[in-house]
Amino acid sequence: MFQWFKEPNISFMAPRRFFLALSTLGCLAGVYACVLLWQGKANLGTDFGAGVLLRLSSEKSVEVDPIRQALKGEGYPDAQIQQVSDETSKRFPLIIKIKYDSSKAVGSLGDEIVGLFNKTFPDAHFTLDGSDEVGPAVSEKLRDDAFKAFFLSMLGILLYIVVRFKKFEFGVSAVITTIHDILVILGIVVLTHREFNLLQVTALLTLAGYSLNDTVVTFDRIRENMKFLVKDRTFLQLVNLSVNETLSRTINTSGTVFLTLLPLCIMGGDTLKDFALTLLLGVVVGTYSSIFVASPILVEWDLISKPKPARPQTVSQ
Amino acid sequence: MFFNFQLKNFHNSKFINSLFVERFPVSFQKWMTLTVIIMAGASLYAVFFNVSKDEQDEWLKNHPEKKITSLKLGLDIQGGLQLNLEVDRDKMQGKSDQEISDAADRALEILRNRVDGLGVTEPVLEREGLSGIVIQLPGLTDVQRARGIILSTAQLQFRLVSDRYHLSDYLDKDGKVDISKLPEGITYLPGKEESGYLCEKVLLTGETLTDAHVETDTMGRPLIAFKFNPEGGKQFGVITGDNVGRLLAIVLDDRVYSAPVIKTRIPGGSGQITGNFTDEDAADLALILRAGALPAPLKVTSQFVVGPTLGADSVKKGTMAALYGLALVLLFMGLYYRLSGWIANAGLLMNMIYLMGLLAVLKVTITLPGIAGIILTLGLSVDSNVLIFERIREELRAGKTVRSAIDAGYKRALTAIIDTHVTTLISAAVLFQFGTGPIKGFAVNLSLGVALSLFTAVVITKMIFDARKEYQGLSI
Repeated sequence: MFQWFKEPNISFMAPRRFFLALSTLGCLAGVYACVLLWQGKANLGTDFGAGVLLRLSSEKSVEVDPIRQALKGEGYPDAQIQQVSDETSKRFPLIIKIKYDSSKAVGSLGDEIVGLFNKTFPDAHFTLDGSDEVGPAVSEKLRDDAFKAFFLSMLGILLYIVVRFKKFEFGVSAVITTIHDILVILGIVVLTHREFNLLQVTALLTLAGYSLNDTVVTFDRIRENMKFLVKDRTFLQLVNLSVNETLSRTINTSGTVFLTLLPLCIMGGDTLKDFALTLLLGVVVGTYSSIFVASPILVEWDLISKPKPARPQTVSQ
Repeated sequence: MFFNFQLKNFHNSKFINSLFVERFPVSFQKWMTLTVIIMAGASLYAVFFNVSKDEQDEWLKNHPEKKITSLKLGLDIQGGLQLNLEVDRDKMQGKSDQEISDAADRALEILRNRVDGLGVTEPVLEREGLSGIVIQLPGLTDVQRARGIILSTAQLQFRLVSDRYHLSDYLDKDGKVDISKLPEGITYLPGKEESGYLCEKVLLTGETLTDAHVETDTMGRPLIAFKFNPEGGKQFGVITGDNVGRLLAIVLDDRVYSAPVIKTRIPGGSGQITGNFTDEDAADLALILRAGALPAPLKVTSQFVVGPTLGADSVKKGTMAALYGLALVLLFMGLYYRLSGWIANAGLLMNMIYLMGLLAVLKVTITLPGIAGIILTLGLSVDSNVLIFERIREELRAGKTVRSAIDAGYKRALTAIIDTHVTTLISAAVLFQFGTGPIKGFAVNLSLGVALSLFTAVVITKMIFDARKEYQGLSI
């Protein structure tokens, strides 16, 4: 049979404090990302931060600078302009994001901008391929719903963890790991200035459920081993053994999901690409955390709760 | 704890045991195999053939270049317009919530009639919240025209043009009308093309209309002929009879369409609106008048337009990504777990076939995130097989016979498999509850796929393993 490792015996628990520190940093980044989101400083999608997203395309390529100038002249100096490379199409796609402008009726901006471009760049023949125009009332509702969904889903999963694990420390560790995963992914998405939108929240909620799976498998193994293998092993060794025993499972369950998402991430079109990338990130973070966060917390818990063995007495001179 | 207790019972229940854990008796095998095949056939039939004649005609009319299937495609895939509207509360001040909500209800009915006239195949109109209306028009391309028809308040009014005051007396230096100087009871209303009129009070409104349709005048130009109900017709007769020789302004949404001279009393309760209409303008206007006036002005709170090429392009990319993802997983499972991997692959393919069938039967709308949901299902589905196979390998290493290793593998991986399903379904349920349309699609596809995988990845693969009673060795 083909195996990644034959009877692996990797010492995952030795560098546990390094990884716990690293993960703490990751969580802090996630908390910072939450603050940025709260203050509205993150790169919000048009669904959460009211605004307009226009998908245009032209027959001839037009540089970004003249486009920026044209938009500036029209009163949109802050417009975000993104050229999309697309080998499959003969046209030149372009994405423009503009913040909500209360003086304009929602839904009227798309045609206005296309008209402006076709006047400024008459040979380029711009067309409007699609547009999202979201007024403040709708974006407020969407933010509200996303917030509620996030907490409800976390509550559901945390409740599941609580009833799933009989042992208190296992439950607490799984809860911390799930929150860790969400915070780290959120941190990466927000701090790398990727657009934070409804689909990203969807990805986060899906991951909140998914990233738990590897942890559950490892924890089940630890519990099983505790019944039979406690003699002549410390708890740390037992946890390390369990992580090693479930290693190929952890790698393969994550690996299959990784493999299915990878093509979507590379060639999925701009809506799904970002969504798939966050899911992909989540799979990696979830795998990492089941090995380097969930189990080390159990080990540390054990070390702290058990009285330290008395040190050998040094003979005083 | 309580749940664990239940889980244990669940685990020990006869049904679950016989389905997921125990070996299938040989007599049962035949029936199960037949069921699996029939279900696959039914799924394929539902996707490709279960389309009525009407639907076929409609499909060919709208997508002559595409193959027919009964899968319902979302707005983000087939293109179209979504408008989120709201009763403009600024213009309904002093009205109670109930009145606003009633106005939105009535507006919805009127919009239904108007949208029907647009010729869109499967329009969706829904009320949302206190005062919101969501309109989805799949396949629609002329956004400006649709907006015009939907947003027109269609307040038709008949007013006399003032014969005492003249517009030219109220123009400022720039040639604009100085509204502040207008005498009481006089309103300035712009004309369709010309400068506008000073009008007196409203004498009759469009509420009394029963019909409106396009006719042509003697020159072949389109005009709109309308009919009043008996009450309106009587009033119209009185108004025209009393004001022979004066100009009667026909006003729609505060704009004078025409202001003909009343030559004689008009009995019989019908009239005409003329103006420089194109054929399409006239048809749209007649449609709006027939459907009736909106009880309150609406404003757009958000608008989503997806052009047909954009939608087709994204669905092509999504489908290609799904196929590549499928190929990668099949290859991985086949290489890593060899023959057992291919058994898992058979289960995975069944999962995809059943999922497509269910989506067609349940008329689930396929959206772009929905495609991502199907892709995620691919990866999650074989996870169950990974858990089972790793367990079997462990049992084999521990020295068990192949047959009992397989039994133990299915038995002992079950709790972890159920965990995977429960956590995924929790997230999906919340997403379904709170998500917008496309995200609901993701949640539905993911939860259906994951639920199906319990059957395809566990029951079907176990059935294949159980087809043999004795094993000399196992390719895993």
